[in-house]
Amino acid sequence: MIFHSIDFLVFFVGVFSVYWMLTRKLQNAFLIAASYFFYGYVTHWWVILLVITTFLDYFAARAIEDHPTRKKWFLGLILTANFGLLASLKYCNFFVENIGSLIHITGIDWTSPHWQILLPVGISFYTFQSCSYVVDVYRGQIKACRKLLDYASYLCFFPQLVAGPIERAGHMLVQFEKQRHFDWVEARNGLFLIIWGLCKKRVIADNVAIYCNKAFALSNPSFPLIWSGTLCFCVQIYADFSAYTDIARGVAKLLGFDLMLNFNHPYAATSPADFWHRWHISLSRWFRDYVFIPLGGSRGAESKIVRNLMITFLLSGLWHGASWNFILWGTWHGIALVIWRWIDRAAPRWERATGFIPVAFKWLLTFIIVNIGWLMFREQNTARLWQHFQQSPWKTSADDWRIGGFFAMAAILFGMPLIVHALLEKRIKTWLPQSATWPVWVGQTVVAILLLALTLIASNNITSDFIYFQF
Amino acid sequence: MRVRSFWQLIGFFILVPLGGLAMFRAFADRRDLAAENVVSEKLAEHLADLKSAHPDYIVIGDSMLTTRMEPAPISQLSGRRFFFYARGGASSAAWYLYFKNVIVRSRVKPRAVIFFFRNQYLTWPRFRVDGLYQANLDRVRLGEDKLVAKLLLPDPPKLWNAISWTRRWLVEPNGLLYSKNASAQFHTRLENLALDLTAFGQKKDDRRTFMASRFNLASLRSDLAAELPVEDSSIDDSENGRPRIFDPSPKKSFLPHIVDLAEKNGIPLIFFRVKCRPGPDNITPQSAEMTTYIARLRVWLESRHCVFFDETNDPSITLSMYQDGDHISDAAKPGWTHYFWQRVKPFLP
Repeated sequence: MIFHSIDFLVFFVGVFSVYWMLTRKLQNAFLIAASYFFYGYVTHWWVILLVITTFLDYFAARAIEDHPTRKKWFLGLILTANFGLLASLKYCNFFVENIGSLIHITGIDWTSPHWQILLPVGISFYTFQSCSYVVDVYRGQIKACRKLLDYASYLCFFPQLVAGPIERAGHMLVQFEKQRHFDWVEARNGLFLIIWGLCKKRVIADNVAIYCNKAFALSNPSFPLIWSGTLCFCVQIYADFSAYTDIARGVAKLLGFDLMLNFNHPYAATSPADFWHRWHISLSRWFRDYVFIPLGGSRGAESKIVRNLMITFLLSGLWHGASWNFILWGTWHGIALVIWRWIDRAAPRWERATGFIPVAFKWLLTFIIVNIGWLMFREQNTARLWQHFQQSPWKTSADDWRIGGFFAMAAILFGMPLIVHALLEKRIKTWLPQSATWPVWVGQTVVAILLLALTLIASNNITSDFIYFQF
Repeated sequence: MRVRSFWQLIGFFILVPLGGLAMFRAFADRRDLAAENVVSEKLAEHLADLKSAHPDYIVIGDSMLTTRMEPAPISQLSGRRFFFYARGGASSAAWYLYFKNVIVRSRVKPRAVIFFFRNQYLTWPRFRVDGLYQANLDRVRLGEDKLVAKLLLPDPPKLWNAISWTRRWLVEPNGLLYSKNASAQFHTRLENLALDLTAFGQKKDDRRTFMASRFNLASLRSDLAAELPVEDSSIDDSENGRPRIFDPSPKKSFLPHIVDLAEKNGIPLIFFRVKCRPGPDNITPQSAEMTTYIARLRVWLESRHCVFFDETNDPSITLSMYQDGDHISDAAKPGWTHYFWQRVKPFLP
């Protein structure tokens, strides 16, 4: 079920109406039922996988806490089970095909099998959320949850089940264990977030997608067309993914929950590291806490730090999909981070020599790096990706430059609400502490009316699933 | 404080939808239908084209037709005059309007009219009628067509589709279908602004023409099909009104109306279901639901004295003939034209 559908509206109105009439325990049980219905709405068997993961991790965490001497063993077992399930569904074909290609190089004629597997939506998200819980219990950072109902509702909570944010038990599970109260102000903020999310998805992402798809559908796109298409994708993916998060956060607020922030104006970043502090924050933190730091983090010799960064980003790329372009994308960001780190070290000397390094220059460079990454992300065919990089700006017709300019301008115009939001948010945030005051209410209501009107007027008639559903 | 927050939420909940909808209605452009209830320039062109062609057979379809055959080769092969009305993205609503407003109105009496279609398109009235596709209806419409307006409107406002119905009522205050589509107009304005800002001395229309040629089918990548959304009938598409079972009710689709009109005017009809892109084994997988649907469609059409062809299970139509999606490649066109003629010839009046 997708957020921007009538089905979801009817579903949520029903859930909301019943939910607040129940006691906490019943609320959790009801949320589980609602979440399973939501998840299995199109493909019923996906629910079975979610139930298996829930049981496995719930009992594993308890076993880890109850048997400290054997906790390593339990942890190894449960991580193998979780990642094994994920790997078998998501990466199996990819690995087998690549092994097949390697065998083919040796001259042996072997056709690799290909299994028709419908990848369950959101499996990467809930597997990571579940694993983080078990690891946190193993590390002693949190207590194992003793109530299956609480844990199951935490793992399958429908607003964030299919595309995050990837929550931590320390922040989210405790909310399921506590009594929840309907907060009038938070509910209003939640509604506002939902309207803003719908506007981002239907007005920005779906409209910009038209130009992006056009550019990438060409058999031989020229330099301006492929890069303007990439710029469109840059706007599309941010609007699309952050829209999902906003709607998820808004829906959660209406149910009395607080989901973490997943985006913080990523395109305002002035370095690759800054970008990863602003983009898909929940995933970045997951990789930082469960991969980068355990590998040694940024301590030790430079070569080790570089290794840790590269492994982390390579895995982050692989998390997005079983395809070489995602691995390249992750590697690209890893390389950018490493090089930027070295430049940053030299910067004080450089700054002394030149006077200063303008922030605008850092921003522009970061934006270019991110967009090169988006091209790798969008183009799944690696041979074509190579072709795109080989396109020369000098061997392009003036007409193609004009179309490229038009696509880029359309992306900027459709993405204008994002720019306005980035410029105004600091001011808006100063309102929030006293958000029960009437001036704030009036401002929020007027903006919500404008956003809703814009959504109704400018929504694209052709919509699609959220991009991150595929991961 | 708590009481204030309560009223603020209630106020927000009431004012935002009302304000949003009011603004929407205020800014949505409307059409003067009375002024448009005449034969439009495009419709007149279609009528003139058909009259001057005076064809033996008229073939109606979408890009499935344009990528499979062209009028000249099939006319040459058959020795009879074939006339095509084929527009990319056209749907049953546009086909109905063309049949009614052009074929019947022209008084050209062809020996048969052949419809090219895929899967459930014949009984899916709300398929491709909004936004960019509205142009296909506009060029063959004649004022407000009550049947079209009725079939394009979702079912009466039950809880399930109340919002969709309200939205349509608001978007299309003058008669649902023929009022200006607010979003289409917004896009046009924004596109025009983007074109103006990046004009660099070139006229908008010249650039649009160049774009149309730059993004024509021949310029698109052959593996595009893999990236296009799969039309999977298992996906719930009730929102768009995709029919799951075949229903010949006149309240549900344009098909029975087309057949009635044809009967009344003595025009034989032939329906040709094209084969969707097959897999590497040259077989196009079909769900049980689809098989049942097509079987019922065939029985109904034959009971109404129409001829029905389905090439879906024909192994001679192979994957190698396809270019992108369900389109046939240019190289395979002559072969396909020949195939079509051989299949249809014995049944043509």
